Amino acid sequence: MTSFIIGRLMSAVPVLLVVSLVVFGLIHVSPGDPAAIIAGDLATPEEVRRIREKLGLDEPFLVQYTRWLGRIAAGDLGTSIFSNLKVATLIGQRVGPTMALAGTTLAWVLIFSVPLGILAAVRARSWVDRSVMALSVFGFSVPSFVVGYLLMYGLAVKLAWFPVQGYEPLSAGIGPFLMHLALPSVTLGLVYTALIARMTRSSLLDVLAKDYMRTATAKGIAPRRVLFVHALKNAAVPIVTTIGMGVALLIGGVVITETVFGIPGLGRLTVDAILRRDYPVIQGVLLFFSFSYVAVNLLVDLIYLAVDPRIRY
Amino acid sequence: MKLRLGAWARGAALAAAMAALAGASEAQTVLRLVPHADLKILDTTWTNALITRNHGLMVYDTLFALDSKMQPKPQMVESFSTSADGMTWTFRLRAGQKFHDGSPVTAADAVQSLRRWAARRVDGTAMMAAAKSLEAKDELTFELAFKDRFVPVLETLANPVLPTFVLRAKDAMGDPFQQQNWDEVVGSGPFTFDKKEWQPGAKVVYRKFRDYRGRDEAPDGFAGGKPVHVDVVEWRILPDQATALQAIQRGEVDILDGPQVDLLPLVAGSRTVRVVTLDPMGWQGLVRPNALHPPFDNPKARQAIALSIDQNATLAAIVGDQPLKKTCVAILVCGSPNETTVGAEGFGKPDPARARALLAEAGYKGEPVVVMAPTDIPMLNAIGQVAAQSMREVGFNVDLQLIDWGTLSTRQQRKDKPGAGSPGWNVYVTAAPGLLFFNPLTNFAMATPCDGKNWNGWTCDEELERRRVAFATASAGERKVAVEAIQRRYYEVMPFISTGQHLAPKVISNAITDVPPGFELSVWGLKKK
Repeated sequence: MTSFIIGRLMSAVPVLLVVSLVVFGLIHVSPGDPAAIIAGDLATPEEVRRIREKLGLDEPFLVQYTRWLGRIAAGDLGTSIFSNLKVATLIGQRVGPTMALAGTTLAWVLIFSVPLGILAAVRARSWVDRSVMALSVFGFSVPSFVVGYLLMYGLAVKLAWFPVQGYEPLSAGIGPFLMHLALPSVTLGLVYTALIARMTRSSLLDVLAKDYMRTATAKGIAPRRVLFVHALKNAAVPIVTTIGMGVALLIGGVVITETVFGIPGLGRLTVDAILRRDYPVIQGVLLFFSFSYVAVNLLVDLIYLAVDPRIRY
Repeated sequence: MKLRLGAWARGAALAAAMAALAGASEAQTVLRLVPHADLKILDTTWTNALITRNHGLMVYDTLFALDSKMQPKPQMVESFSTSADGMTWTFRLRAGQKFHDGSPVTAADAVQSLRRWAARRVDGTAMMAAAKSLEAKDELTFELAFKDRFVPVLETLANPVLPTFVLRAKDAMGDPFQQQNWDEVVGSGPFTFDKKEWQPGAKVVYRKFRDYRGRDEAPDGFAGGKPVHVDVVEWRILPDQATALQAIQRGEVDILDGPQVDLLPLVAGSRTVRVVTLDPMGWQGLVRPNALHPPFDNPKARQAIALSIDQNATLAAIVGDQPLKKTCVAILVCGSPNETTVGAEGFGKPDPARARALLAEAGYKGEPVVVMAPTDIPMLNAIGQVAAQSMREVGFNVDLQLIDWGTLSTRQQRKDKPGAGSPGWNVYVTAAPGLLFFNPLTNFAMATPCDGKNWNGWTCDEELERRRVAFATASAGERKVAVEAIQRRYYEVMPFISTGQHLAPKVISNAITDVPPGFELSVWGLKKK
């Protein structure tokens, strides 16, 4: 197991290298010059050239990339060319709200979506099943910012049950922490719930139709045990895969949710950095996200080992 | 038993009283403000971004400042005098002013700060070009001596948009052409900057500077006293304007400094907030042609743009039907002391027939005209779209390119000839505050030297430049004539086209009172209930 984990982490290195090269290349070929943005529209070309030189942006692409790689290897993600703060500091400031938002979303999604999917499978083709599927279609179809605005208008503005915006860390108390995350996490999690509920339903239906399920029932095993001990365990692998892939949905969705609800997270940091061409921040944050995906994929693979004894690496 | 109960009761009461006292002493008044942009750069000399100027107003003080009637008034200066010939100015600072680190403010700090500031400011550069010396005479006195006549000394020192902030001399030593990154931001203004709490893109925190030595006057515009009645000011960056409006109505924030104008009807009639317009001049929209390449190397083509633009329609695209529009032919801004209609005869209203005739006289044959407008700044996007359509209607073959501001900022610096695959451009749109553009010396769009070093667009006209620079030597009585001369020449040359002015109100919670008069919202003077 240990060698498997180490092997997987080592194999992440070339993945991260490729990601870094692609990201570095993309942002450098995209239009926009951070030196011009920093200098402002009153600056002369001479001033812009001076800034570009100072930031090393006039050097060849490979020189810039190699220098950046060297700093990464030394543990330095670089410095924002606008605020002059360390990229690691900026990430550190913003990772907490994003992780809190993603974590609370994941928690309630799993609590609701898996049981919903089970219910839909067990009551297949009934009104319960159709209702769950309708909710699922709604979750897929309605854009998250529309959901966000509707929740904000109804529950925060009109009923004043929740705050409109902002984030309070756990240190401010569990109450304020959850109150500020309630609406954003529902906004973010709706599409995720739809996805997992549907996958749970279809995976479970597939397993329930198998011969060994009929055998288990014929042997007199209680229906609850058949469902939760035998069927669900066999249906778990695709569900776990979907949950893992859905983390990508979560990370992508935080940008919109953080903007709508004014949460100072990594999503907004990324968008701001892209808009102003803050290269070190873009590169640092995307590297961080890439590493997170690698870690999530590894975790999913480890969970496979737990749910399916046939899987061995 | 009774005694024990009584002792318990007394103990509990004492504990409760101590807790209440502790709570009272810890309770702080926090003012939450949503600024119009994110604070990214802290060096007030380095950048011309208004948000950095606003940051500077919090933590620094200025030598002079404009009051609400646009008159320059001494701020850090206690007194000043000029020699009989007006060529030597002597300034004495108010005693007892301190920086946030406790060190005294001295004339040496003022001199060094002024030198650094002037290197990067159009009006400051003009002033120092006319000066022969700027030096500290003693601890509190400094002298500015001129070799050439320069009249608007106080107006220059009271620049409201790019102010003369006074830094510690050692902080002001840095190269003005390089962004400075100080470990701490130390000023002598009414607030200190909490750099540890700063989260670019999310939050900025300022704390009341308890040793601030302000003027013993009521606040008035950028001038006067700066009494602070709040302990902490938090800038909350909220990029979503709709969310910001909802938040202020719920009382989660207190002030919106730059609300999106077309969303203001959502708070009309609100019981918890009010919409307040402070700056009567507002913003002036601009269409800036590129005079390096045809057709706009010919002033007639530039005039054709002016005659195609309907200011009412353009302003309506920004503010809707709200009474925030100001059509204006005064190129040095309506509502300013330099407002005039002289020279503007025949302009100010669309005249498509005359526009087409001018285009033909300019030799325009229908070549594509690249118009750039940003997608991510709603005001400029509106101006760009309406201007592009107006230009089409008089015969321009417009290639409207909607791009993000970052890309536009890069391309506007390019002098390439526009064409397929080229980053070159013919026209782009922007806007500037009236407070910056009312003064010919700070109106960078009006600068037309033929050295190619002026603002992107590079219009060249030595006569207009001569008249603009001559404003620096015009006495108070001569200014009207100088302004009229500038405007007459402007309408012949058209280095840029105004699309009108619109007001930019603030949204303020009704819990905030005593808002001082002025062009910008000052957080000193106001109180929070």
